[in-house]
This record gives sequence, structure tokens and C-alpha cells, in this order.
Amino acid sequence: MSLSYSFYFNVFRQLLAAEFIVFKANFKDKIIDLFIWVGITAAIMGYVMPAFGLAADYGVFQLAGLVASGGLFEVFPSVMNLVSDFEGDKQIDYQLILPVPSWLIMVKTATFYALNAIILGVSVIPMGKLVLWYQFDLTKINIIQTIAIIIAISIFYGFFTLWLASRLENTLKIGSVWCRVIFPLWFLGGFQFSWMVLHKLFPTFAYVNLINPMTYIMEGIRGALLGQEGYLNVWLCALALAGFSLVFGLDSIRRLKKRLDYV
Amino acid sequence: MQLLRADLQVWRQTVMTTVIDLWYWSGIQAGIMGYIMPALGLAPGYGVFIVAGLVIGAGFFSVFRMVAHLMRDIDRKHEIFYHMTLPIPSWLVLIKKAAFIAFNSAFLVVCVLPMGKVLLWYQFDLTKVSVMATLAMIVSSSIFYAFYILWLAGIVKNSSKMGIVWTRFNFPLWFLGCFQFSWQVLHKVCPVLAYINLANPVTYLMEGIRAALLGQDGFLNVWLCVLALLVFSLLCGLDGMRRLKRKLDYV
Repeated sequence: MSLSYSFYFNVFRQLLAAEFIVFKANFKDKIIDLFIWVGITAAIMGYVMPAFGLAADYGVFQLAGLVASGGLFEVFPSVMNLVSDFEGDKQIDYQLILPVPSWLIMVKTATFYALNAIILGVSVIPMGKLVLWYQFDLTKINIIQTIAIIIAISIFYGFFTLWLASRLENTLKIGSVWCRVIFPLWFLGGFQFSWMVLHKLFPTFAYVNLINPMTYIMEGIRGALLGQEGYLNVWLCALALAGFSLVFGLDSIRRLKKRLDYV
Repeated sequence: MQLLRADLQVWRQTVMTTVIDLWYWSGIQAGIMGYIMPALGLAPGYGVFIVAGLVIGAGFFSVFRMVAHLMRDIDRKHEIFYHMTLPIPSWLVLIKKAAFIAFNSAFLVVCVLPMGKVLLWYQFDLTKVSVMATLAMIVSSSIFYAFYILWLAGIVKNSSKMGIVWTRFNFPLWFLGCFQFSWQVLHKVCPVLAYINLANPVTYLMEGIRAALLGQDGFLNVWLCVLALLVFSLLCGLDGMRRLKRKLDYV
């Protein structure tokens, strides 16, 4: 029994290593793109928008959201790649005939996306510090909470990517994934405002928004990076994200099982 | 004319999906900026300010999709190569493509305007709208989008490099180009960046449409913006055609 677990683990590790060889080839471009996106957004929100009436620390508030969104921006291309593979090369079929449980291949794919999200999310923090410098007080960071929430967020992104790929019929409909799923969840999920502010203005909408996983992502990372005051409890957010990951993970494995016709 | 009609027939099949996607995208932004962000300190009229940007941004919304479509066509040597063999000057094929894109952009821009009014209702005062200036901005922005897309198709090496269109061209131009703030505010905060930003065509798109829809006060002159957009269109068009000529290897 333990021999087969160690065999599974080795296959899992080797497949993951193979994914990272491709990832490494594009890593520099990804970091440059991320830096452009984070740098411009943080600078505008930190230095220009306060002249429009926003609080002086709005740049930092937004930066925390950017840390959480670093992985989200990988969701769209990852779904695209997965669905292209299902339609075209079907590389995943080679992995599904390996002598390991098929669900493990799906978990491996989600793990790769999760690790990807961790690397990109963590990279945003020093970028943000460079751009906002004095505005971003590193002493307020709770390291344990930050690590926990980044891991929870990344695991969620991993299974969310898998779930979206399992639901998308073909690559022609990929544009709608961004406009009708990712963007509304992200923008309504508190990228530019906190849940407390929403609750003051529209309590009903705020409670409805508690079924949006992005709410926990944004609130959790802000609680961990900027201090707990004014945000939902970080541990509650991490727990909610673990729950969402489980639901999306189980549903995506069930759907992909049917779609890819594996046992 | 016939080639354009053929493009429009395909376009009709997908336009509704595009419009629904666009409404999602602009509606959510307008709602948040109009009703939630003022609680964070922004002026109550900020929603309308953003809606004006979203109206003209509707054309920008389709830039990525259009470039991707064009690049796929070029990579797989499909339609555009067939059109190049027709007994018409090759540049006319590209102008036809630009005319189609301009029509699509103008259509999308017009779709967002009523949605902005419905969402923000009392905040959006239609009596301030200058019809002539708005029409001029819609036409000049659509022409600009058309040639900007051709230029991007000339710049990007192949479909696998499409990611750079968003991160290295569209996003910086869009976000630095006064989508969330006016040029005057930028000038107050950082005059050097404001002057550099005058080389960004999106600045003229945003400032021009705001002056046309919300009144001239506080924005760059709308007719100056129209003129600037036409100049940018000419530059993008000439350089785009030169690049595509080399890329498609036509005479």
C-alpha cells in the first residue's frame, strides 16, 4: 500500500516538474507583464486617485487586491490552454493512461495552477513596495496569516481553473468566461471596495456577495497585509476558500470524468 | 462592398454575444463607480465620468478580439490571403478590413450609451450632451480603433504572442490614458506625466468623449481631440500597412 502511494507521489512530482519546465520558459515574460499591470495600477491608485477624493492610503488598499489578483489573471489563459488541449492535442489523455488514479491527474493540474498563482501573487508584494514605498507599511503584515491566505487563494484558483475548463464547451466561447464569470466575480467581489463599505450602502447585496469567493479572497488578503480592522476575519476567509475549493474541485473532477470519458 | 457585406454577415451571428459581454463589463463598472465608490470619497458625479469613458472604451473592448481574429487568419493563411489574390489593389483589402472594424467599434460604442443612462438615470444629464461633438468623437474613435488594430496585427509576430497586446499595449494606454481621472487632474498631480500622456491616443479618446457628453468644462477641447485621433489613425494606418505588407508579402 505504502509502495503504491510512494509511486503515485513520484509520478505526481514528475508530471508537476514537467509542467514547470514549460512554465520556466515563459516566466520572464509573465513577470514583466505582471510588473506593468501592478506598477501602473498601484501608481495611479496611490498617487493620482487621491486627488479625486479617495483616501491617501487607497493605493495600498488596492495593492492588497492586486496581490490576490495576481493568480486570477492566470486563470483565463490557463482555461484557454486546457480547453484547447481537450479539443486538439489531447495531451491530457496520455496522462490519464498512466498507472495512477485519474483524479490524481486532475489534482496535479490544479496543483500546478495553484503553485503558479502563489509565485505570481507573492511577486506582487515587492513590486508594490517598490512603487508605493512609504505608503506600504510592511510592519502591518501578519506573516502567518499572509502565507495561509495566499495558499488558500492559490488552491482556490487551481480548482476554479479546472472547474471553468470543465464547464466551457469550446474555445470559441472563451471570451464570455472573462466577461460573464471572472470579471463580475472579481469586480463585484470587492476589488475596489471593502465588504464593510458595501454592507453600509447595500446590506442585502453585501450578504448576497458572501456567496462570491472573490469577496473572501479580497477581504482575507487585506486583513493579512493591512491589519484585521475593517475586513472580514482572515481565518474565516481561509476556511470559506477551502470550502469553495472543495466544491469546485469535486464538481470539476465529476464533469471532466464525463467529458474526457475516463474511469 | 461585397467583401464588406460578407464580413457583416458573419458579424451578425456573433454580435449579440459581444453586446451582452460588453453590457456585463460596462454595467458592472458603471454601477460600482456610480453607487459604491462615492462612499469611498469620490465625487457623486464620478459614475457618469466613468460611463463616458466606458462609452468610448467599448471600441477598445473589441481590440483584443479583433487582433486575435486577424492574427489567427494570418497564421493559418486563410481569408486574407484569398482576398489578396482578387483583382483589386492589396491595400484596398486592408482598408476594407479597417472599415469593418470601424463599423463594429461604432456599433459597440452606441450600444453602451443607453445602458449608461438606464443604470445611472438621474446622474446622467442628457441635456449636457453635444450631439455633433459626440458623433464626431464616435466616428474619429472608430477610425482610430480600426487602424490601431491593423497596426497591432502588424506588430505582433504570431498568435502565440497575443498576450502582449493586452499587457504591453492596451492596458498601459488605457489605464494611463485618463480612464479613471481627467487630464487636468493628472496635470495638477504630475505635470511631466501629463505632457508625456499627450502622446497617448487614449487620452484624446477619454477627454474628447467626456467633453462631448458631459460638457467642455474641465476637459481637453473636443475638436482638438478629434483632430489628434485622426492624426494617430493616419500614423497607425501608414505604419500598420507597411508592416502588414512585409508580413503578408503582398505587392
